[in-house]
Amino acid sequence: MTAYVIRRLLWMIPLLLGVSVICFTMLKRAPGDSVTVMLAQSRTSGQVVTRDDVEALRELYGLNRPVYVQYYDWLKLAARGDFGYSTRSNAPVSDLIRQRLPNTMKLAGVSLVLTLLIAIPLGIISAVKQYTRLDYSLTLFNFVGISIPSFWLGLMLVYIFAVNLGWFPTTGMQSANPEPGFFNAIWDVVSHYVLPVTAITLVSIAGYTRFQRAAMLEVIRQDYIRTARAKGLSERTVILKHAWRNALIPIITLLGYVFVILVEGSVVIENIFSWPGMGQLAVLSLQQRDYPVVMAIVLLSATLILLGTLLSDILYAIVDPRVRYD
Amino acid sequence: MTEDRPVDQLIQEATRLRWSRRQILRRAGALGLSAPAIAMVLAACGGDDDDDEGASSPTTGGGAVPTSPPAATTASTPAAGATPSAAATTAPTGGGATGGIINMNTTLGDSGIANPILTGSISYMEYYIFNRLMIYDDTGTLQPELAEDWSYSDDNLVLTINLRDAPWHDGTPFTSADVIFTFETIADESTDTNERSKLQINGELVSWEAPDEKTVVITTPEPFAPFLFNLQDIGIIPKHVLENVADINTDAFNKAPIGTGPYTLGEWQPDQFFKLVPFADYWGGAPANDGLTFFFHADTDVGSAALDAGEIDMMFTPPELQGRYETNPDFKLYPYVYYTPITVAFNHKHPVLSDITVRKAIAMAIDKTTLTDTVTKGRGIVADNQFANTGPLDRYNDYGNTTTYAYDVDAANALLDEAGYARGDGGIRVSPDGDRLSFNIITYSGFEEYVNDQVILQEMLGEIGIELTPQVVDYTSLEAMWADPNDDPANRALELEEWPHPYEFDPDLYNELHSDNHPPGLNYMWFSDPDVDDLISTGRVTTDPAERESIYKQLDVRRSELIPAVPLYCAVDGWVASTKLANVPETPYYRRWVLYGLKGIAKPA
Repeated sequence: MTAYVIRRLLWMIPLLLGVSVICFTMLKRAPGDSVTVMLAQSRTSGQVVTRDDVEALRELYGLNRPVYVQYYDWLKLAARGDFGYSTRSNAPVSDLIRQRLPNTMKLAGVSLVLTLLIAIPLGIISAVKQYTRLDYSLTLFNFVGISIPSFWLGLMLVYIFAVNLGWFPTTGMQSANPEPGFFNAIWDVVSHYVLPVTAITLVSIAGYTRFQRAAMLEVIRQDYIRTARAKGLSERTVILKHAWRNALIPIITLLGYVFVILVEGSVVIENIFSWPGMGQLAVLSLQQRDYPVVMAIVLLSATLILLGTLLSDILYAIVDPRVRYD
Repeated sequence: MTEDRPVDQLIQEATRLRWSRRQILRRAGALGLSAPAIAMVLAACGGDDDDDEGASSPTTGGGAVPTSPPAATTASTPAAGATPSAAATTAPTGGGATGGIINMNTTLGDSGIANPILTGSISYMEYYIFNRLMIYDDTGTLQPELAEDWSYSDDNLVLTINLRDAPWHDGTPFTSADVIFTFETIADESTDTNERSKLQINGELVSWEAPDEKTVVITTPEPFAPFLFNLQDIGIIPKHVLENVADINTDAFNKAPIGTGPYTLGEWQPDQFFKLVPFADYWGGAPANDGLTFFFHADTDVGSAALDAGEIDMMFTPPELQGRYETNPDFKLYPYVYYTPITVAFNHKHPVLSDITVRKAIAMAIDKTTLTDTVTKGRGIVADNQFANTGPLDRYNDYGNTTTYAYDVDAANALLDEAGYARGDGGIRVSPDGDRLSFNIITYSGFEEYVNDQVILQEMLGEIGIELTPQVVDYTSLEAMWADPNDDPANRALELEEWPHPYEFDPDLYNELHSDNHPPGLNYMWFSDPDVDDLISTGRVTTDPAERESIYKQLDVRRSELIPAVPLYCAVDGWVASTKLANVPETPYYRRWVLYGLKGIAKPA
């Protein structure tokens, strides 16, 4: 098992290298660079930027050198964990990520916990009461949830609960001018979480419920469940003790994936709710052709995905004694 | 007395940066100071009890913009850190806060840079936290800001600028040394700035000196009228804070700026919002409101929800959203007219379009009124001259003598027939040299309006046997095409955009229209005419405002004869503001609004 994990970890190195080469080449092949974007923006805001200014900035940022030289220089620093400075904000890329990653983690974490708390019971109920009205309505709810684009759901939530009802703020993580007082401060934080978390959770519940339902249905049909019932155990014990524990195996193995998916999926939601997280940073940096930041984010997501899959595989071996990696 | 050193340091720092009570407490807590020591710091600094409101405004009712600086008080302000006296921090307290905090948004994103000379600095900072030497008003006339007045020598080579008395936010007086320091920092090649060319004339830096504390003398290698435009775009930064920093590009100053402007920077939550707090000792009088909050929104759709929910009070709004607010009694629309018209620009390297007859026929085949009304839903203003018929550049239009091309399809057809452009396959005309009159019309993405323009023009020109193929590319791709001297003119025969687009307040078109600047220069439509070159060159070396007006009027006439581009209409965007706001200026000019307007706006409870 240890050997397997080490092998998998070592495999990550060439994979990440490949990802970085492809990403870097694609970014450089795309038309324009951070300087042309800056030029376009300055022009629209009424400033004058001449070609001399542009050339001087390209020189300063080192954008005039051949792409392979730029990549080599980037790689040399990146290998030491130094992702350089953002061309947009002149701040170290690591600072920007350190600032925003926790915000995304908070959003994804709260959503994940809520998803599990809601989706698992719903999936079990759906399976146990298969082909009843309850099952059908849950299935309908799930298909609607899977089909709704999250940006639409987000905008609708804003429209109904923030604009029309005025219950929650439309955007942000905190108020600029909060009401004083301890409880107001708590409500200020909570109220900013409600809409984005709802938007993410509603969509992820749908998929997860389906998954739990399928896993449960498979287990319920097993012989040992019939045996348990034949022994005269109560239905409650059969379902919760014998069936559910086994139906949890695929769910647990998915955890690693799901967290990654939530983190990545927050890109849309973060932009709708102006949530200062990684997703928002990724979109802004891409728009600004801020290569150092884009590269760091791509590598970070690639690493997260690889670690997520590895974690899933490890968990699989832990919860299911039949699985062995040699 | 082991606490002495941190306490002194804290007092000094708190006084210099004008910390609020909460900041002092937090900082002192971090240093592990005891309660009596903290009390000492607070007493020494006169820390303000109220975080958000800052100093209360001396002007209460009405909220009119105070114009005269309180000269007597600013001159006596003590130097930073020297004495933590009450005089430096306490504002005259009137009836308390009445102006309210004005909330708005920006969709340009949070670059995290508040130093106005650095590339990508947040554009509001230079207006509010800093000052420039001078500033344009609505009519395109320069008004003094940190400069009190200025004058040129008789040979137009030496510009003498007298500076006003003004305090930096930390109390230090502003002097000529700050101006020189700003120029030198911009000239330094290691500074990440896009402003160096503003201090250059034909690639050569101007020279500057400060004969005394209140005077700056700039000598230019040759007379250059748009230089004042360049100067007014430069925010002045403090020498005493920045002269010894290791790297100005990444210095902490960029997050905690000190300027001379009407506001200081309050709380700044990256990618969420920043708050501006009134500066009580501002030379132009303290703002009428209790501060401004700018929220960072991904786009105007997000902003629109915040506007509807009352979270922000005003927003710069694109045409497609304006209709929502036009009939809403809670909001008022303030239109903003762009200074230069949207045009159909011709690629003059193109063998067919270089023929003036074809350009003339195209100009006559366009029904501008129908186009404008359809595309802008009646908001746009039909344009026949080089600049908008309202606003700072209007004075350079010559309405009496320019050639206008009335909409007349028959006359346009007759013109082309006569010149030998016979109709060929599918009714598309063919030039005497055998080229089909089939062109692409290119524009950059992001503006639905431009796409609609393309389609309507396609139909209109079809009437005279000219075939158009609309094409939309993103701005950076188009930029790359512009910069390529070997670009095939067929790739962008016609362009739909604001071209030629001058400096915002200055009519100079050297970069875009002079034949010296063909690609990779900015004259990417390859226009070339000796008379136009002459007029542009003369306009650049003439500093007398009246003489310049006459030169650019001649240019307007010459342009109308040669048709480098057909002006179509001036686009109109607008601000949407809550009717709760008082003293919103009724000017159609966004810049003016940002500069002076916001300072006077109040939101009475």
